[in-house]
Amino acid sequence: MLPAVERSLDLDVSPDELWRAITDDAQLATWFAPEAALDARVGGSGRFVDDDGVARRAVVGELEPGHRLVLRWWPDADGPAAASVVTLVVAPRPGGAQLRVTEHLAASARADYGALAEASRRSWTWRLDLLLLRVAVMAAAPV
Amino acid sequence: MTEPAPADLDGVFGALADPTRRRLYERLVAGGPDTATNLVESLPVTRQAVVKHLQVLAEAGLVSSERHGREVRYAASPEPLTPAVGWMVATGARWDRRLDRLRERLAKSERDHD
Repeated sequence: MLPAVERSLDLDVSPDELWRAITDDAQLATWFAPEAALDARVGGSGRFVDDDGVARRAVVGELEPGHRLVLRWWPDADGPAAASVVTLVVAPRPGGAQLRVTEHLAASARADYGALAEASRRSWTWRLDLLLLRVAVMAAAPV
Repeated sequence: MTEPAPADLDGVFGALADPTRRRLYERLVAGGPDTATNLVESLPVTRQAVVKHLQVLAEAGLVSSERHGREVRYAASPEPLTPAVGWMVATGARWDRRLDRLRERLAKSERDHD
Protein backbone atom coordinates (compact mmCIF):
# COMPACT_ATOMS: atom_id res chain seq x y z
CA MET A 1 0.00 0.00 0.00
CA LEU A 2 1.35 3.42 -0.99
CA PRO A 3 0.39 6.87 0.26
CA ALA A 4 -2.55 8.16 -1.74
CA VAL A 5 -4.70 11.26 -1.90
CA GLU A 6 -8.33 11.09 -3.01
CA ARG A 7 -10.76 13.87 -3.83
CA SER A 8 -14.10 14.12 -5.60
CA LEU A 9 -16.09 17.03 -6.92
CA ASP A 10 -19.76 17.13 -7.99
CA LEU A 11 -20.49 19.60 -10.77
CA ASP A 12 -23.62 20.80 -12.55
CA VAL A 13 -22.13 20.38 -16.02
CA SER A 14 -22.39 17.50 -18.49
CA PRO A 15 -19.77 14.72 -18.38
CA ASP A 16 -18.65 15.85 -21.86
CA GLU A 17 -18.04 19.39 -20.68
CA LEU A 18 -16.11 18.12 -17.67
CA TRP A 19 -14.06 15.81 -19.90
CA ARG A 20 -13.07 18.78 -22.08
CA ALA A 21 -12.04 20.69 -18.94
CA ILE A 22 -9.54 17.94 -18.03
CA THR A 23 -8.13 17.29 -21.52
CA ASP A 24 -8.08 20.64 -23.34
CA ASP A 25 -4.91 22.74 -22.83
CA ALA A 26 -6.67 26.09 -22.80
CA GLN A 27 -9.16 24.86 -20.21
CA LEU A 28 -6.50 23.08 -18.12
CA ALA A 29 -4.65 26.38 -17.80
CA THR A 30 -7.70 27.91 -16.09
CA TRP A 31 -7.71 25.47 -13.18
CA PHE A 32 -5.18 22.64 -13.28
CA ALA A 33 -1.98 24.67 -13.49
CA PRO A 34 -1.29 28.18 -14.82
CA GLU A 35 0.93 26.65 -17.51
CA ALA A 36 -0.55 23.45 -18.93
CA ALA A 37 0.19 21.49 -22.09
CA LEU A 38 -1.06 17.94 -22.52
CA ASP A 39 -1.09 15.63 -25.51
CA ALA A 40 -4.16 13.67 -24.41
CA ARG A 41 -3.49 10.26 -25.95
CA VAL A 42 -1.75 7.17 -24.58
CA GLY A 43 1.99 7.82 -24.49
CA GLY A 44 1.42 11.56 -25.05
CA SER A 45 3.52 13.92 -22.98
CA GLY A 46 2.55 16.87 -20.85
CA ARG A 47 4.13 19.77 -19.05
CA PHE A 48 2.66 21.70 -16.16
CA VAL A 49 3.86 24.59 -14.04
CA ASP A 50 1.86 24.72 -10.82
CA ASP A 51 0.75 27.82 -8.91
CA ASP A 52 3.57 27.15 -6.43
CA GLY A 53 6.09 27.36 -9.31
CA VAL A 54 6.82 23.62 -9.42
CA ALA A 55 7.28 22.43 -13.00
CA ARG A 56 6.31 18.86 -13.84
CA ARG A 57 6.61 16.56 -16.81
CA ALA A 58 3.90 14.01 -17.47
CA VAL A 59 3.20 10.98 -19.63
CA VAL A 60 -0.31 9.72 -20.36
CA GLY A 61 -0.50 6.09 -19.22
CA GLU A 62 -4.15 5.29 -19.93
CA LEU A 63 -7.01 7.02 -21.68
CA GLU A 64 -10.68 6.04 -21.97
CA PRO A 65 -12.15 9.00 -23.88
CA GLY A 66 -14.88 10.76 -21.95
CA HIS A 67 -14.25 8.72 -18.83
CA ARG A 68 -10.75 8.12 -17.52
CA LEU A 69 -7.29 9.70 -17.80
CA VAL A 70 -4.20 8.34 -16.06
CA LEU A 71 -1.00 10.38 -15.94
CA ARG A 72 2.37 9.59 -14.52
CA TRP A 73 4.21 12.79 -13.60
CA TRP A 74 7.21 14.07 -11.70
CA PRO A 75 8.72 17.42 -10.73
CA ASP A 76 11.55 18.54 -13.04
CA ALA A 77 13.71 19.17 -10.01
CA ASP A 78 13.41 15.61 -8.64
CA GLY A 79 13.20 13.58 -11.85
CA PRO A 80 11.27 10.36 -12.59
CA ALA A 81 12.42 8.81 -9.29
CA ALA A 82 9.85 11.05 -7.59
CA ALA A 83 7.02 10.07 -9.95
CA SER A 84 3.43 9.85 -8.85
CA VAL A 85 0.35 8.63 -10.70
CA VAL A 86 -2.73 10.79 -11.16
CA THR A 87 -6.05 9.19 -12.12
CA LEU A 88 -8.94 11.43 -13.19
CA VAL A 89 -12.34 9.76 -13.62
CA VAL A 90 -15.43 11.48 -14.99
CA ALA A 91 -18.77 9.87 -14.13
CA PRO A 92 -22.33 11.01 -14.84
CA ARG A 93 -24.55 11.84 -11.88
CA PRO A 94 -28.15 13.12 -11.76
CA GLY A 95 -28.13 16.64 -13.23
CA GLY A 96 -24.40 16.76 -13.82
CA ALA A 97 -21.07 15.00 -13.54
CA GLN A 98 -18.61 13.94 -10.88
CA LEU A 99 -14.82 14.18 -11.06
CA ARG A 100 -12.85 11.73 -8.95
CA VAL A 101 -9.13 12.33 -8.51
CA THR A 102 -6.56 10.04 -6.96
CA GLU A 103 -2.83 10.61 -6.78
CA HIS A 104 -0.44 8.05 -5.37
CA LEU A 105 3.32 7.81 -5.34
CA ALA A 106 4.63 5.45 -8.00
CA ALA A 107 6.16 2.28 -6.56
CA SER A 108 9.46 3.30 -8.15
CA ALA A 109 9.47 6.48 -6.05
CA ARG A 110 9.98 4.58 -2.82
CA ALA A 111 13.75 4.30 -2.87
CA ASP A 112 14.24 8.01 -3.40
CA TYR A 113 11.43 8.99 -1.17
CA GLY A 114 13.64 10.65 1.41
CA ALA A 115 14.55 13.25 -1.22
CA LEU A 116 10.95 14.45 -1.27
CA ALA A 117 10.83 15.32 2.39
CA GLU A 118 11.39 18.98 3.06
CA ALA A 119 12.83 20.36 6.26
CA SER A 120 9.58 22.07 7.18
CA ARG A 121 7.69 18.80 7.05
CA ARG A 122 10.02 17.31 9.61
CA SER A 123 8.99 19.77 12.27
CA TRP A 124 5.56 18.23 12.66
CA THR A 125 4.64 16.69 15.94
CA TRP A 126 4.02 13.01 16.35
CA ARG A 127 0.46 13.62 17.37
CA LEU A 128 -0.33 15.44 14.16
CA ASP A 129 1.35 12.71 12.15
CA LEU A 130 -0.73 10.05 13.82
CA LEU A 131 -3.96 11.93 13.33
CA LEU A 132 -3.23 12.46 9.66
CA LEU A 133 -1.97 8.94 9.30
CA ARG A 134 -5.29 7.54 10.44
CA VAL A 135 -7.05 9.55 7.77
CA ALA A 136 -4.46 8.64 5.18
CA VAL A 137 -4.56 4.93 5.86
CA MET A 138 -8.35 4.99 5.52
CA ALA A 139 -8.13 6.96 2.28
CA ALA A 140 -5.49 4.63 0.86
CA ALA A 141 -7.43 1.45 1.69
CA PRO A 142 -8.99 -0.15 -1.40
CA VAL A 143 -12.68 0.70 -1.72
CA MET B 1 19.92 -0.98 20.64
CA THR B 2 18.68 -1.98 17.19
CA GLU B 3 18.69 0.70 14.52
CA PRO B 4 15.40 1.35 12.73
CA ALA B 5 15.48 0.08 9.14
CA PRO B 6 15.46 2.72 6.37
CA ALA B 7 11.99 3.94 5.50
CA ASP B 8 10.29 1.83 2.86
CA LEU B 9 6.82 3.15 2.21
CA ASP B 10 5.28 -0.21 1.35
CA GLY B 11 6.65 -1.56 4.61
CA VAL B 12 5.48 1.44 6.62
CA PHE B 13 1.94 1.47 5.26
CA GLY B 14 1.71 -2.30 5.16
CA ALA B 15 2.68 -2.44 8.83
CA LEU B 16 0.11 0.19 9.79
CA ALA B 17 -2.68 -1.28 7.65
CA ASP B 18 -3.31 -3.77 10.46
CA PRO B 19 -5.56 -2.31 13.22
CA THR B 20 -3.82 -4.19 16.05
CA ARG B 21 -0.41 -2.93 14.94
CA ARG B 22 -1.80 0.59 14.61
CA ARG B 23 -3.13 0.41 18.19
CA LEU B 24 0.19 -0.98 19.37
CA TYR B 25 2.09 1.82 17.64
CA GLU B 26 -0.25 4.50 18.99
CA ARG B 27 0.12 3.02 22.47
CA LEU B 28 3.94 3.29 22.19
CA VAL B 29 3.71 6.87 20.90
CA ALA B 30 1.28 7.95 23.61
CA GLY B 31 2.63 5.90 26.52
CA GLY B 32 6.35 5.83 25.75
CA PRO B 33 8.70 2.82 25.57
CA ASP B 34 7.39 -0.39 27.13
CA THR B 35 7.84 -4.16 27.30
CA ALA B 36 5.79 -6.71 25.33
CA THR B 37 4.40 -8.04 28.63
CA ASN B 38 2.99 -4.65 29.59
CA LEU B 39 1.73 -3.98 26.07
CA VAL B 40 -0.31 -7.21 26.08
CA GLU B 41 -2.48 -5.81 28.89
CA SER B 42 -3.88 -3.08 26.64
CA LEU B 43 -4.69 -5.39 23.73
CA PRO B 44 -7.02 -8.38 23.20
CA VAL B 45 -4.23 -10.59 21.82
CA THR B 46 -1.60 -13.01 23.16
CA ARG B 47 1.94 -11.99 24.13
CA GLN B 48 3.25 -14.08 21.24
CA ALA B 49 1.06 -12.10 18.80
CA VAL B 50 2.23 -8.79 20.28
CA VAL B 51 5.89 -9.78 19.83
CA LYS B 52 5.18 -10.75 16.22
CA HIS B 53 3.41 -7.44 15.55
CA LEU B 54 6.33 -5.56 17.15
CA GLN B 55 8.71 -7.39 14.82
CA VAL B 56 6.70 -6.25 11.77
CA LEU B 57 6.72 -2.66 13.07
CA ALA B 58 10.48 -2.93 13.70
CA GLU B 59 11.11 -4.19 10.16
CA ALA B 60 9.27 -1.12 8.84
CA GLY B 61 11.50 1.11 10.98
CA LEU B 62 8.55 2.24 13.12
CA VAL B 63 9.73 0.59 16.33
CA SER B 64 13.15 0.09 17.88
CA SER B 65 14.03 -2.28 20.73
CA GLU B 66 16.53 -2.08 23.57
CA ARG B 67 17.50 -4.83 26.01
CA HIS B 68 17.61 -3.99 29.75
CA GLY B 69 18.91 -7.10 31.53
CA ARG B 70 16.20 -9.73 31.05
CA GLU B 71 13.59 -7.49 29.48
CA VAL B 72 13.29 -5.89 26.06
CA ARG B 73 11.76 -2.43 25.82
CA TYR B 74 10.13 -1.26 22.61
CA ALA B 75 9.97 2.39 21.51
CA ALA B 76 8.15 4.15 18.66
CA SER B 77 10.18 5.88 15.93
CA PRO B 78 8.17 8.44 13.96
CA GLU B 79 10.82 9.14 11.29
CA PRO B 80 9.49 6.83 8.57
CA LEU B 81 6.06 8.45 8.80
CA THR B 82 6.96 12.05 8.34
CA PRO B 83 7.89 12.08 4.62
CA ALA B 84 4.88 9.93 3.71
CA VAL B 85 2.42 12.07 5.61
CA GLY B 86 4.10 15.24 4.37
CA TRP B 87 3.71 14.10 0.78
CA MET B 88 0.02 13.36 1.31
CA VAL B 89 -0.71 16.69 2.94
CA ALA B 90 1.17 18.71 0.29
CA THR B 91 -0.41 16.72 -2.57
CA GLY B 92 -3.88 16.97 -1.05
CA ALA B 93 -3.56 20.73 -0.61
CA ARG B 94 -2.59 21.11 -4.28
CA TRP B 95 -5.67 19.14 -5.39
CA ASP B 96 -7.90 21.20 -3.11
CA ARG B 97 -6.66 24.39 -4.82
CA ARG B 98 -7.06 22.88 -8.29
CA LEU B 99 -10.58 21.60 -7.66
CA ASP B 100 -11.64 24.92 -6.13
CA ARG B 101 -10.53 26.63 -9.34
CA LEU B 102 -12.31 24.02 -11.49
CA ARG B 103 -15.56 24.46 -9.56
CA GLU B 104 -15.33 28.22 -9.95
CA ARG B 105 -14.45 28.01 -13.63
CA LEU B 106 -17.26 25.58 -14.55
CA ALA B 107 -19.79 27.60 -12.55
CA LYS B 108 -18.74 30.63 -14.62
CA SER B 109 -19.04 28.83 -17.97
CA GLU B 110 -22.52 27.68 -16.94
CA ARG B 111 -23.54 31.26 -16.31
CA ASP B 112 -22.06 32.27 -19.68
CA HIS B 113 -24.37 29.75 -21.42
CA ASP B 114 -27.49 31.26 -19.76
